[in-house]
Amino acid sequence: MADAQREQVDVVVVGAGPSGLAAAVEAAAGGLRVVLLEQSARVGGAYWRHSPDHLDDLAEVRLHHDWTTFRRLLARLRAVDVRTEHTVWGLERLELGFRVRALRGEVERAPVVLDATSVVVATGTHDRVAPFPGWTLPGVMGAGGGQALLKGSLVAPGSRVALAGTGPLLLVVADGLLRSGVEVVAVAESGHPTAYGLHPSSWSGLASRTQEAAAYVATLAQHRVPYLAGRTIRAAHGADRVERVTFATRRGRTREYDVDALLVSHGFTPQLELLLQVEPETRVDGDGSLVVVVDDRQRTSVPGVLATGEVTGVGGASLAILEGYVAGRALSDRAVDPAVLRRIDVHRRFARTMHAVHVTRDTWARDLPDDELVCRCEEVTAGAVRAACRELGVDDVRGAKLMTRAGMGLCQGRMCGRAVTDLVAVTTGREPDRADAVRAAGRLPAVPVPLSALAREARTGGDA
Amino acid sequence: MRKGDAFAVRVDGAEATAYAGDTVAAVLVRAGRVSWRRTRVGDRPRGLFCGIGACQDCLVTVDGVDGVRACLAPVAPGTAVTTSDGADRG
Ligand SMILES: Cc1cc2nc3c(=O)[nH]c(=O)nc-3n(C[C@H](O)[C@H](O)[C@H](O)COP(=O)(O)OP(=O)(O)OC[C@H]3O[C@@H](n4cnc5c(N)ncnc54)[C@H](O)[C@@H]3O)c2cc1C
Ligand code: FES
Repeated sequence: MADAQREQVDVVVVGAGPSGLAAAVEAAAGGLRVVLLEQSARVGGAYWRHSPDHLDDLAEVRLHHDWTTFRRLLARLRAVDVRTEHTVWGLERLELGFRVRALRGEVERAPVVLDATSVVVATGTHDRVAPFPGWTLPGVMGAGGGQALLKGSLVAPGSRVALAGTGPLLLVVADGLLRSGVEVVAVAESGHPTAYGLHPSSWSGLASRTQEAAAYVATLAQHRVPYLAGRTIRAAHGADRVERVTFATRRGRTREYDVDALLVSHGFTPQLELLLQVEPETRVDGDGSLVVVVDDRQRTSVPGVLATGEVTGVGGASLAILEGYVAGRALSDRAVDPAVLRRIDVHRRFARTMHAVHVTRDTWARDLPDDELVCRCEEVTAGAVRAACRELGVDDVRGAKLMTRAGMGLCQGRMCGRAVTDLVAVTTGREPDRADAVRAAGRLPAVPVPLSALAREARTGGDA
Repeated sequence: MRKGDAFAVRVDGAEATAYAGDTVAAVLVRAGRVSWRRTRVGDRPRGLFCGIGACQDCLVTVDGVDGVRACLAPVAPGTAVTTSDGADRG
């Protein structure tokens, strides 16, 4: 690996999703030198996924929301040094400021080192998928991930698709698939969205969100796609790929569908790996996710490190954009519009209701057969984790990791951390706490190189 | 649906069509592949799972470099992708 050049800047923003973009343009507008690092080849994050060259194509624009907001952000992005295809893997405190380490190019993997006075971490989330029989079959993927494929490259993840899990994203994705001419056979929502009616104050002031949800439900009805509330995914079946799925009611009544893809989302897992390297204060949010604590200026407990968007609590793109704006203003010492702070409160209140309505119960951890995998990378079964609890006295995620290798593979426990925590809890009866959630979360972001190469880079990169 | 400019890439030695802005994963899925790798222990097939660079299920070799995330890596004209499934098939 070539030695890295070291650069000094005012602000490094990690992640070019809605919140990272907003933070970067706002900080740059305040006169700061801002570098925005994004691991994928395009900006826009999980929300805006299309190359701006295609802005003229209305069929595609319909797949995207808030397109005008995106265009406005893109126009202001000229003041920001944007570097796509940069995967950030290290965040380190210096005496003054921070050192950010990245690799440029998914294939090239050239080390990049930036020193910054402040850092904004806006690394977003990935789909949470709670294990069920058949969940590792090809063709079963995260609902957001399926959406990413569709929006990003106009490729559908299948031709007969079922969706399962919980949350508004299932509707968004079903709508996108239907508009793209894909057959959607059914959507199983484990929650009861009518429960939103029990919290009317939480969505007052958010008329657009309720209208949007109503429009999605209408699209499903128009295409005669069953939207099955209170139904969970019982199993995916198939030899070398998913061919059939079984949905079940809580009482155990089942229905089967032939499919060639199953998109699942049991909510989201915020990507805290980078943040945890500097050990900010964290908390467990209403959806059970570990998130970082921020003040009303998006500052974490580590001075100089700000966090925006889903890493501060899963709440959707509009909230993410507002938080990015606040962070950018705070960094450049400019006043924050109080109306924005009120909007943020409204969105957070709605998010709390959303978390209460869309719960994934941990019954999966009791029901998952012993021979099913919990850890995809190291191929550790539920039975192995249960045996470690019963026979080796394991009662937390760290013990499970040491005894079974769950979470020690390529993804560094990103996919299984939450699941192993829940499985250990259900098996031992010991309630997991925040410390468990911190232990379950990885410290190293997903990176395309073996750890040995990183260790080498860490030794040489900073001295270039 | 309209797509960007089409160009040719190679997947496991055969020519495949790609469009501007495609990732390796998009090219593979469009070509009908759902899995392209097998796991070490259980020989289980794997393809896309998270779709956004977090799970490492989708790894391929691009222009001779292995361990590349297919869901993130962009393709360019002439990009050569090899999958471990493709290599096994000879
Ligand atoms: C796969 C997926 C698809 C979704 N699709 C939709 C949708 O269609 N509609 C909707 O309303 N909501 C969707 N959501 C919800 C979405 O997360 C929020 O609406 C919104 O995008 C959150 O904005 P954000 O800025 O917090 O994070 P994100 O938009 O997730 O942006 C985070 C960015 O950080 C980058 N990143 C992460 N780690 C690193 C690193 N180590 N180095 C460099 N870059 C990094 C990521 O590549 C990403 O671009 C989706 C979520 C997921 C996970
Ligand atoms: S599908 Fe998860 S990293 Fe590519």
